[in-house]
Amino acid sequence: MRDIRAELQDILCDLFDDDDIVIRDEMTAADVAGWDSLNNVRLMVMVERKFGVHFTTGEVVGLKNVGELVKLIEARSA
Amino acid sequence: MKDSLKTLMRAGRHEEALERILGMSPDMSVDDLQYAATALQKLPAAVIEHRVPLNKRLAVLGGATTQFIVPLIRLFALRRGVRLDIYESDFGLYEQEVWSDSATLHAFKPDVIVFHLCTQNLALPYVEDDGSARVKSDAERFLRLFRTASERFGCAVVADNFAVEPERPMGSLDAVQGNTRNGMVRSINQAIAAARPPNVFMHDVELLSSKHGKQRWFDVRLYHSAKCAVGFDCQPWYADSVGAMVAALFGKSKKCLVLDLDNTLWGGVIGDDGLGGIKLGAGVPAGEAFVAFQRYAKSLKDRGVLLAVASKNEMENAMLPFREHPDMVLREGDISCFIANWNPKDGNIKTIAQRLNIGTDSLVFFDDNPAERELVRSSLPEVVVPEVPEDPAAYVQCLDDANWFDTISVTDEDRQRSAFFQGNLGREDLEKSAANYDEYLQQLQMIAHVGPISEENIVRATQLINKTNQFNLTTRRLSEAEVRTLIEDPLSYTATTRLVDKFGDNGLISVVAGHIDASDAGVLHVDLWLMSCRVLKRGVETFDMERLLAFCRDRGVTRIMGRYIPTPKNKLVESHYDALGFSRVETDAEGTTWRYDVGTPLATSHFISVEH
Repeated sequence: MRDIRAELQDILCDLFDDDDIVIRDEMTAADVAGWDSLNNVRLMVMVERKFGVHFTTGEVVGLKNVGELVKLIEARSA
Repeated sequence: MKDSLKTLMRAGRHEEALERILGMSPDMSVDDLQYAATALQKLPAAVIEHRVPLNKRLAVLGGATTQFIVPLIRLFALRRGVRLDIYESDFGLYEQEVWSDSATLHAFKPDVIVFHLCTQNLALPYVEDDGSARVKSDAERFLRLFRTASERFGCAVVADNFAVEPERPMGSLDAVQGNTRNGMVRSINQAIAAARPPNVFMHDVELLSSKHGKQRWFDVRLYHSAKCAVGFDCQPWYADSVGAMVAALFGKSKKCLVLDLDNTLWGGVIGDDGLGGIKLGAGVPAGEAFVAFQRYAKSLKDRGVLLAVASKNEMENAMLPFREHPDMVLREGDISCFIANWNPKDGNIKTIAQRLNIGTDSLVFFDDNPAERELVRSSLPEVVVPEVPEDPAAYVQCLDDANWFDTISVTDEDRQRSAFFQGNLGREDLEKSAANYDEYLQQLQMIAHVGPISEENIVRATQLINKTNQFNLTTRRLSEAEVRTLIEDPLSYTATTRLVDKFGDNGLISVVAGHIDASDAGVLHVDLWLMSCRVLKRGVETFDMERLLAFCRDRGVTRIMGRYIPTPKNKLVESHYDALGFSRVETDAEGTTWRYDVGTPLATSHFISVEH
């Protein structure tokens, strides 16, 4: 069983070059410095690569918080 | 890669981190490259400046999202020897910046403007009623934009051309009908290329996207969600290609390809297998691959890249295929410096650079042997050493992808460059046989063709201004547009010298430029004094000084002021002004200032006769 949360946290730490990021379900882009719409695109591409999943164009913008992203990854990689 | 770089960054080992970053290439993982590009922005400016002194200002005006590619352009331009400050337009405002004569862009003073465009900027329908009228109006629209940008901001322009798209509702008719979107894209590209103004250079995105595969190049979802013209996988290739053009613009392209022989130019070992045993030419698949690689190298040579050989061989064996093998494409005359011996290759490569009068940092070393590559990498880190693939069929792509020899113009001098070095063999023999150096210079029968910088020689003069590192007093780089402004100024002095001797034409080899002081007509300031090293110690400096003095007398100038600005590469001319009889009047942080009173007779002499 993959630890999706731990891997996602690694991606966020890499992307924002900040090892202190700890993810929570209710975390949103507003909670992380530098998480703008363009970095969001980068994040989605990195997530897709890492987990070998694919999101549709609509899904990427419809997510409310980190918890929803984790659920989506779980559903896709199941 | 990422982890080791991260460790270096966290530990504050900035020099090592920078070396790691400079070693990165576009074939590496995009995640690693993006991390490196971010890390680069966190390195102390002084560390980067020390390693890559040449600084240029680049403005990226985007018809598509620029944020992802800009850090990668900075990353890849740096490994090609140019440290960039980058300005980005707001999204999609590539036309407004130019037509509104943007004050912020003016304040930035760009050395080059990059138009990052995409086919969507043309807003073409799938089919147009009058395709040719549409082509004409769009080509004119972009030509006007590029020309105006170059003129208003006095800089070079690098503009993406438009990529043919993979989808085609007209099916196979798309290939033959001129009024389909793709038909029009092809014609617009051609029309722009054909009418391109002098300081505008086309970045061939159409070719890049084909080369990497259109479906990889375009990421439709990424365009819809973030208006990115290039997908993540291909962004590094895009950025590196822009970096190569920027390097070419500022004289940082490599100048010489140093080749190994056995298993690089032919299959097998000439010393063991003999002329009939090496694999080269039709019939053997590998033999054809080596011929294809030689053809590519020959084509580089024909447009001005020097070829050299560094081989572990007996000279006699090494030379044999060049002289006698019917399938050799490269001949003895194509190689400007041929070294075959049993000494370590790093030393031989240094010798090649010395003989060709170029820096080791303008060499690319191509050798199938990983041990030789490793030796050269560790001993001469400034030499580019591509990771040569196992299969000779992939050699051409390896060299072509890396793009170290990119060029934005080819002059007559480029085409004849190898011939200059062939003539050098004769010159060396004469030097040995002459009784003394003066007699040698006399016997060379040197004739100088002189004139100001003009439309006829402006491309070559600009190239020389931007490429010359060693014999260059001020290392001031100027774009073609800036050179044109210079020659139109009535107070300016420009002089070029082309030197011909009994062994051949050395081409246009020196440029001197200055201006009469606007507030004191008795003083001339020398702004540029540079010369190609291939004519060192031939008396050209004295000859050029004589002409400068004649101009000064003619215009009533009584005093010449010269500047020497030291760089890591121009120690050669440290005492240039001293040798010509100038006296030093000032030393400041940047360099030294020298003075010559026009009435003083010239103490040095030369053996060059003149032709106007």
